[in-house]
Amino acid sequence: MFLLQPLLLHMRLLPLPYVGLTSVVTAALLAASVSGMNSPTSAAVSGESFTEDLLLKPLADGKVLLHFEFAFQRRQSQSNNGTQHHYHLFPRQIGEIALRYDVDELHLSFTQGNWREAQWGYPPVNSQGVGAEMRAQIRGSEDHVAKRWTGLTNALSGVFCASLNFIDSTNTVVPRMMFAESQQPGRSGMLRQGYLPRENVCTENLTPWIKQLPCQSRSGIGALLNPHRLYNMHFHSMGMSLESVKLSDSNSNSNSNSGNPDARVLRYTQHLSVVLDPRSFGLEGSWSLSELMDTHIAQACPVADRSTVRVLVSPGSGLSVKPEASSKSVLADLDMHVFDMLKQKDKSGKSAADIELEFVEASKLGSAKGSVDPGRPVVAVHRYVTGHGGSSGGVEATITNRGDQPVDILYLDSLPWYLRVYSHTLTITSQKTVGDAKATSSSAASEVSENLTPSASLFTPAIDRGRPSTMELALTLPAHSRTTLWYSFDKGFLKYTEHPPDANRGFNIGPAIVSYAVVGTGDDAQTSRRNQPKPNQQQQPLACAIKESLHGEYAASSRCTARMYSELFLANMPTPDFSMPYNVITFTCTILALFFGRIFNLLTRDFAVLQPRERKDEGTKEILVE
Amino acid sequence: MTADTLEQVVRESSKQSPKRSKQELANALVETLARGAATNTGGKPEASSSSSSSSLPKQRHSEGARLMRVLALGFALRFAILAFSPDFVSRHLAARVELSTPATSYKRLIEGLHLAAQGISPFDGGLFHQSPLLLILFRVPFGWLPRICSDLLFIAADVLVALMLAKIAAKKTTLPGFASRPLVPGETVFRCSPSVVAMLYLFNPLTLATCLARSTIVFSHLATVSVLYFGVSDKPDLAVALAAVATHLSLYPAVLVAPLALMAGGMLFQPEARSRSSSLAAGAVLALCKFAACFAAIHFLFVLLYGSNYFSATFEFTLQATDLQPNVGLFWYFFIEIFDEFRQFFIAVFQLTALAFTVPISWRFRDDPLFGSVMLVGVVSALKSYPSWGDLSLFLGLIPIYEELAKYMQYTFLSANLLLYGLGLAPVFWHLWIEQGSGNANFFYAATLVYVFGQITLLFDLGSAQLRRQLDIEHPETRERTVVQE
Repeated sequence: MFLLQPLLLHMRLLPLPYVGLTSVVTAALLAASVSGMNSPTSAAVSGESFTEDLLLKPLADGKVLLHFEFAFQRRQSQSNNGTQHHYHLFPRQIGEIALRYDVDELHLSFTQGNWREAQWGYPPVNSQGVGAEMRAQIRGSEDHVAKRWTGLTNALSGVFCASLNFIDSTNTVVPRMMFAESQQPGRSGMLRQGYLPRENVCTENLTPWIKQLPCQSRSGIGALLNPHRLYNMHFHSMGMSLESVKLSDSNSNSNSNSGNPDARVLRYTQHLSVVLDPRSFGLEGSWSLSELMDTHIAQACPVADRSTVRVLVSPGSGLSVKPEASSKSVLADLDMHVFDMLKQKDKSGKSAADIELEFVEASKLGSAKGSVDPGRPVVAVHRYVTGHGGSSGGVEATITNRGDQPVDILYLDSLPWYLRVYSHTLTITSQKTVGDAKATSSSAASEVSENLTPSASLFTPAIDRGRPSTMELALTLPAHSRTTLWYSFDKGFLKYTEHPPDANRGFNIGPAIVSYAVVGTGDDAQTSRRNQPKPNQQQQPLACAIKESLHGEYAASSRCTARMYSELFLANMPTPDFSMPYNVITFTCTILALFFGRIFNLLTRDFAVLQPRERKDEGTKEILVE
Repeated sequence: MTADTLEQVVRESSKQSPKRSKQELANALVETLARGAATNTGGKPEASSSSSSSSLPKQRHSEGARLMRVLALGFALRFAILAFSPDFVSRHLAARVELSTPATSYKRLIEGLHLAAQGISPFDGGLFHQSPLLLILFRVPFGWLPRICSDLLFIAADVLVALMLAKIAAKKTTLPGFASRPLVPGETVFRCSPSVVAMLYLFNPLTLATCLARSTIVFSHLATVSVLYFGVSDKPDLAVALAAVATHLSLYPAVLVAPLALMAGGMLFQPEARSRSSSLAAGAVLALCKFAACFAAIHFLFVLLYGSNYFSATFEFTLQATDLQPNVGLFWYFFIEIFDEFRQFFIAVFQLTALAFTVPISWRFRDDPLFGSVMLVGVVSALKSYPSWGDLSLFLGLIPIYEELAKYMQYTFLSANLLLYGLGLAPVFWHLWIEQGSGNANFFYAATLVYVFGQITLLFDLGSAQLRRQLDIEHPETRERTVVQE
């Protein structure tokens, strides 16, 4: 029994007297999985469930997007009695953190590389800003939230081996309009967001992340997490999100028989998205998943309730998938081939190690590249720093609406206190652009730019060494337009200890975020096929489509919020001479002493007449001596 | 001062004696002019007014007209530049750190007004550190009137400063202390005519640049010179109230309370009462109490309007020097480079050095509290936490009032050179450091050191000139002798 081995390994964690019992459970589990029943036995025992999925999407420029998603679910205990909590699959440290810091929602992501929306289309995750981003909704009063936020950053810093403890009041944003989708009914928490643009992500963060998986990287989809390939990438976003959701809201497992309408489940999702270039690994033409990751799935993760590999192929791209998928569906206008790793084994009677996906090119890759529309996002944002010289500058953000309809967006930009933002200099102008493909008739793209007034704007000025400035704007972008925001800032002068060790490189400044609600998706998107494109139909963002497909979250609400992150920018701050402290102290104090001495003399000394007892020239000499 | 130079001075002054009658005539004209401008002088400039009665009305007219012409010209020049080449101003002057400090910057004032208009407290942020008075003053011009209207406020304030200086200069010689005091034997009445005093202030490039950069230090200057004017006009209550306003505008004018208390105690107006120390003390204490009451009243008004955090955003900000943006003072580079453990200690040392001499200087020059005030303005200009060229321009504008000291000053060449070096090199070194990147912070720091040193030299020179002149008046026999300070 190849499957029994890892399971027993797992069960060894339980006390010895239960071993007999666990073998029974194992048998039951096996039976369940063999019979193809999806009702999770382990969940029935512990109230927890675990699913793992891998989405694989070949991108238009020949690169491949891999999106791993591992989701845990656990019934939230009503009592706050700490002894009541037993953790089976759910990572205990995360559960305890959520309990201890009264967290309703928590998102953490480490990102490296810019998501190139022009070539790759919609991102698979909603946070793609370079660096580390952390966001939490914490219950409690203002003071409590501040304390818990600090505690939370420190705890997660330990869990993920990251410098999250550098998130303090100076880089914590309190968003008031952005992330409004977190403000679900029944939640009273306050939102905090922290951003570390300089944070690098590496294996030291990946290792603890993998350790939280029940099968770690030994079996199941986790086995594909090969750091050598994951960090040889063009884009990498690793993260987690923790949400406390009402059981009635989520059409999750059938074990919601508690009858308590207030029963909540804690949902913990670990996700990792990478964009790899197969050509850089010497993989031209057709290749398999195990070749791409340089490792293979030896066996399915036995405790997973679902374990799938989903391949998203854009129709007409000339790519084919082998072997035949266990099921097929449509996701965000793409053909989705679903391979169930648990079933795959049964059907073929072979071990999971043999499952490989072949990409066969029907046509040349070059032509395929040109023909495939990457499905660029409707809204794109770019941000630059303008101006020259070391004492002031400006921030310019360009938000493009490629759609045929006006879009309501929220813009959030937060600059650290040492860039002193002048909110009165904010100008917003909008310019018509030539329509993408369809609107060729509108060749008369007017160069006239008109001022745009935000329907709502919230500005929080920065406090020196206290908090960052935050600008939130609600804008309505006209169809086919490019909107430019500009505002100026002065660069503050920092104490010499406040500069980083490589002071002349400058400071990384975190991204601006644009969020917009995508309307008319959900069921609508499922029905609108590619051959009948509706002009007013926005394509569903991949992040939402993935959530919907994997967790069925947005199917009911048909409301999806997409977020686009701008690039970072580098703020070059004027530097003092770091070798000068002693000289400066000496020189300045000399001037002060000079002042003191002269004025003191002036005030205390009286005039005295020198008696002309000698010749005049000698008298002069005497003065000089004096 | 050596004996030869002194002799030379005397010889020169005796040469000028033929002009004396003409000069006296001019004096008298100005006095009557000053009396006409201020509705109630309260003093008794009788001796001179009797002589003025004999003067020609045409000449009287000419002095007043000259002052008006100077003021009008200053106004027109400023208005023309601001109205017709705002680009030049915004590109070359508005952002100069030598002209606008974090405590006086026009751009920050606009930001504060903008925030206030949006319903955000401007003091709940790290940008706006100016007095709520300015918010109130600029509310209407900012909100509803074209930009040039708020520019006009700056121009008007600057011209008013010049007018006040002229009035102080006119007033000074009518004071009993001056009128009854003998001159140095053989000395003519040295005095710049008020129009010259106004001109020297209005057409000083530093003043002009400060006004064009729309630094709000202009309003602080206006309050300061008003304090001095009403002080010498024997209106101590008004002067004390204005001192409270000036303190709210930029904290440091608070030092003027000490000479003001001496004025209120009768040092200027009842020279015979100088010996009666009890009346002096009573008047001084009363003035201090009035100042405290006015200050508290304004404070509570602001707390009602803007909440109590305005106080930390303005006063604490000035005392703690938290914004380390470079300026022409000593604070910024020192507190960028100082080790954190010593920060608070040196903040205390720096601020005490600036403020501790208030009472000693006032007392040393107690015979002439106006001169004590000028000295204190100089000390503040050199040692305040966010100084700018505008501070120096006020000090330089006040010096011509004491034009008689010019011949006693020994280091004018040195201090003029130091100041010119400091003024000339600061923009150059700033450009090298910030714009071009080919210099570093030490360049600009060196320029500010020279600048401050120049001011200290000038200050010391002025103080010792006054003392030396007093000695000459009290002991005319020492003029021929070598005198040392010991």
